[in-house]
Amino acid sequence: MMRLKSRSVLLGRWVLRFFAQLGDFVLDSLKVLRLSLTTPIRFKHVIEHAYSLGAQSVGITLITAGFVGMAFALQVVREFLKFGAGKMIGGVVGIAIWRELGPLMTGVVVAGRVGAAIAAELATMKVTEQVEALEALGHDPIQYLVVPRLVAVMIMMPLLVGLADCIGFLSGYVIAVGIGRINPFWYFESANTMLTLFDIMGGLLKGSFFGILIVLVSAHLGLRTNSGAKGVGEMTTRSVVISLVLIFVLNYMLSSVMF
Amino acid sequence: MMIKIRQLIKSYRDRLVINGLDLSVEAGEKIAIIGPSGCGKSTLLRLIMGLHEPDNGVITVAGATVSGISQTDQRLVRRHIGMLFQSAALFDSLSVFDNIAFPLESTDDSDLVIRDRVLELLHLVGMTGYERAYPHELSGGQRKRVGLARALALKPKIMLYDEPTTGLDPVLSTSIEDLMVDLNRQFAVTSIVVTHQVSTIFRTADRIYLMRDGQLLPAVSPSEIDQNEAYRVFVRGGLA
Repeated sequence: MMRLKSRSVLLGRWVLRFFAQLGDFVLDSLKVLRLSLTTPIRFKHVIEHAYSLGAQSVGITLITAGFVGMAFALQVVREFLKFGAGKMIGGVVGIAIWRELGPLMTGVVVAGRVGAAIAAELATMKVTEQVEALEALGHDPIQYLVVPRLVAVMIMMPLLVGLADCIGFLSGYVIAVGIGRINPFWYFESANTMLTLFDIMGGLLKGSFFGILIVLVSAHLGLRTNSGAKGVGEMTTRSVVISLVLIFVLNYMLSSVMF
Repeated sequence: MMIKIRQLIKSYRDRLVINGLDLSVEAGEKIAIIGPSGCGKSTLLRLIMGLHEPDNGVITVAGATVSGISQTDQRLVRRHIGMLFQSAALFDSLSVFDNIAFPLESTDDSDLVIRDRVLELLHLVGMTGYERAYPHELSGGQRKRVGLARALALKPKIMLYDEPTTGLDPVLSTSIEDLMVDLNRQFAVTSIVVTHQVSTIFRTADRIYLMRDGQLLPAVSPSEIDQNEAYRVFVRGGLA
């Protein structure tokens, strides 16, 4: 009986802590969004972050998108040729890439690279008192540190997703034509027939949502770090894990609403 | 009265850190607050600076209330206060020049005026020639000097020093203490030093408070430490 009671107490505490943390996250996120809309944007900082968080992620995004496109096309080519549906391969690859794989892969890459960088940088600033120094010198840390990163990622994510989509689709073309011996005309023609502008724009929009999510999660956790180098490591790992999980959940929700 | 604190209470989760603390500091006065690690000394400085909200009590700085006010008002109050953080808290991504210029960027001063002021401050803290260096290229003592220059940039009426000499070797500690004494004399600022370095207490304070159980014991002057049991045990017994 006692053991059951203590487990209930532990569970109750865990639930309370979870909702307290969720509440903090929601409040911080609302503040970031409010400040993004109501305070002047520091464009110099936005450009710096767009370069370091966005432009420097191009290489890894393209490599990932290329290989995902090739792997997906390889499976599609094998199965579709069995049923004589080779003319549809371009459209199927295109829809999969533009609607799902492009945004999702870019989200995963950015969560790993950019989310970790933001969480680690802000957490380090927090434990070395730089965030307090910023406040002491009259700046709101969220406005100064988070808003420019959010704007930068919102600008760069659709660009990265668009690039990933193009490279993923063209990599599929290489496999479809090189291995599947598909007529190049049919690859592009089926894509042209099956893909709509909404598929393309929807995928880019998904990318923006993922970018916002990554910045909100990593900035929130980074600025909540308290305990030295260990805390920085823990928060960085946690920000990547939570961002990845939330990206997959959000992707499903957006897909079910949009497509 | 430059700083007035009444019935201040602050707790973190279940731990009561400051418990009904009172303190009054006159303009130009130099006080030191000593006490064991984790007793709430640094928290008190952050409360005075308005970086943390108290659970209860009132803090007024230069006649203005610090807590429960808008961010704009808080910014105005903070302009009167300079703070040297324990780790100096220089911004890693900015050069020494940009770190010191940082608080000045929120003023209406021209770039030329800001530049002159930064060079003047660098000269003041003995760091001329380091303006292009980055914090990671500096020693602990040099970082503290730059942190001090940054804290002085807006010509504050009050200086808060959080463990200014902790982690420095005796030579560097002495040089930072010399600098503090010199600056206090030159600018006649009101200063609060939180430390457990005995030499710092003796050299930089007119009055000393021992913090215990979230409150301050009655103040003593440096010459009275040995006559007061609690202070003597703490300072000479090295309980920090």
